[in-house]
Amino acid sequence: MAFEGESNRQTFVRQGFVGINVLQSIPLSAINSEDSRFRITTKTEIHELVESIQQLGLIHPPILKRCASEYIIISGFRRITACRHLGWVEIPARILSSEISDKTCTQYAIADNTLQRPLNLVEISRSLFLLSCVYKDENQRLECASKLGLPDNPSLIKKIEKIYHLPEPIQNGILKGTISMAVGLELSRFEPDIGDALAGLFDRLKIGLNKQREIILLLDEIALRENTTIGSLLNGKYIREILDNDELDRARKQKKIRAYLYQRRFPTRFKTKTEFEKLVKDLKLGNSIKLMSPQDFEGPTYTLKATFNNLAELKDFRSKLDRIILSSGLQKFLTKK
Amino acid sequence: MTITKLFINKHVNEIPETLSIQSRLRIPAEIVKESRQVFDYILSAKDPIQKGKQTLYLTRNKGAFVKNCPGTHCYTCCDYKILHIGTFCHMDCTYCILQSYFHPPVLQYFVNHDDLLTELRDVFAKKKISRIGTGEFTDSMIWELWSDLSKLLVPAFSGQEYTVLELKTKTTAIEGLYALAHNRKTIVAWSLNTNQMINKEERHTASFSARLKAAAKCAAWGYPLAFHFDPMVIYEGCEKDYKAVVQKLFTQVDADTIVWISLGTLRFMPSLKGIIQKRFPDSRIIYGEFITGLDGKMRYFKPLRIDLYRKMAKWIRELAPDVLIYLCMEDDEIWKKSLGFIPSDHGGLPHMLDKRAVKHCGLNSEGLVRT
Repeated sequence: MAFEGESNRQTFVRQGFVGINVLQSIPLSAINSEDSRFRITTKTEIHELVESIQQLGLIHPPILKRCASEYIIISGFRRITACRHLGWVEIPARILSSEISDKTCTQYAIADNTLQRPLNLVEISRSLFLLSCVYKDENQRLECASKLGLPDNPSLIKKIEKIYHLPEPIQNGILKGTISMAVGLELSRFEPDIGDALAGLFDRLKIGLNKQREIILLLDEIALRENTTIGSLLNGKYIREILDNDELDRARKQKKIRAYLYQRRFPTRFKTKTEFEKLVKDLKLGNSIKLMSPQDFEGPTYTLKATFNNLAELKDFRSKLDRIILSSGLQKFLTKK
Repeated sequence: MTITKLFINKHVNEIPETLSIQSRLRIPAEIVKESRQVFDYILSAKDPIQKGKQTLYLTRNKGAFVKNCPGTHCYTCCDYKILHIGTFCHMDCTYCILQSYFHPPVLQYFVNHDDLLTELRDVFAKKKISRIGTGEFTDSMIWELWSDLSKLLVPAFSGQEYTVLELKTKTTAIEGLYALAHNRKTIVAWSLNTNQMINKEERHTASFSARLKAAAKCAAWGYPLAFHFDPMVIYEGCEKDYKAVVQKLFTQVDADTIVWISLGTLRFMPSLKGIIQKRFPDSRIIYGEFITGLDGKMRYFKPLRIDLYRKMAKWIRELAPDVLIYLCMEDDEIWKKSLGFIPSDHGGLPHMLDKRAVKHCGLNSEGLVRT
């Protein structure tokens, strides 16, 4: 029965914890910290936690499960590490008997985390993965996820749970916000070393999300066009030289890499665009006149835009217009065969 | 590809065309009250496109049988009319636009032929030159396996002198055309491509040489011919291959029998890209140098299109100087740079084609309208 104002998660946790044994003091040496099957937290740093325990004691004891002669951790991985760091020999803990099922342990592990703080995407994906191991029925899994405060939208779950399988550097990128979930999932299509390399590149050059997608698309399509691999493109001489060039800042490296990939993906487009840009540059039109090609040179219409403030500037425009009209470069462009 | 499931709309269950197709297919039919039941069946499949190719739905066309070709104003259209005999195709070309055109794609054949003939009679009665084709929403000849469509259409066109029928195909299902009284009012046309494209990207279609043999047979039976190099795909070595296709064509087919040849390069709606990636992951044709065209379709970068068209036109003209070559959905700049003229110099593309149909198919020149 739920109390007024109580969420599903709170009800579940309140009712669920009823079955847990009273607190016991357990030797830290009897706890197997290597077994991380129920680990949900992505945080490993313990400095603040150590200070808190030092000042206030262990407010919230871990949950352990008895397994033969030792205990495995259901929740409280960081708390146990912090207490070890403080030199404790024993720790108060709630103990589950060895008969308690993995399903119940999973629920405790998730509930104990969601009760304390909002989970990040990687933690949610770990939680969903743990639930998928103990619930074969999808509807039951969704129901349980909802009760535990996890997303219960099937299409969202489908996306988030893929994060669990991503290599660690990509997961870290998602956590740091240098990679979006969508890009992270896109990277999951590649071999782990390629995903890692791209995640590293995005992090290193602080590439924005839209440009990340552009780079992935370009690399992917170049590899398909040229029957090569993304790995060999990334490790190619040109990209390596850009990355190793200490005289270039991050923004310029990023720009050069994108330009290189575009040129390789669209060689004819790049050549035509470059020729036109050179033509406009050679005409020395200044800032008040803009000569623009049709979008992708597809339509027939070129655009000339002039701004002026007085008659002198307008006269100047007239002379520049003559220069444009007489430009053999533009004539060649317009009648190019 | 084999038809594994037959649906029949209850309104057409008893008509002779339905019974005839059913007896030829020899598979049990499921009678449905409405199309929704068929669509649901298709959509429940893991690959609805594949399912749609194996499922035949006999029904009636509740809309118009004669439609205008959905061209866009940004590019020059041939002003062709579509005779809407059915939808989709059991062949499986990578680039087929029909994969994303119908929702869902269903192999649908309209059996209310009385309505079709009524509409055709209205077109004929206008006494204006027109060109009608059945190969826009389907392949014109795939239905020959189970229906008597040619026996219905070819004689219907033969008895008038203003409209020509174009049957456009990648099959060799032409036997039904033999001995029909066509009076040269039916053009039999083939879509041609290089062997590499046919082998890799045009699944379940006839080989290049088989298409040419079929064309030569039709020519021998007196039918005017047409060829469509569409879609031409740019790949390494494509020029050599397309040149070889042109050369082979004219060793098998007399140029005088050809009413027109069209050229078109690969173009597709952006939504088709995902479908191709999913259904044909080994295909590379979508990774060319495409830009978004003025009609929203992906097209090769203009200089690349011009280059290939110009070469194709040269190779064709060397062997068949009098054959009319036209471009499918391109602008004046491309016409001028590829073919050396723009359609308006000759009264517009529809007029050029109409005149050609008058000359080669014996249409009445009084029906010509200059645009």
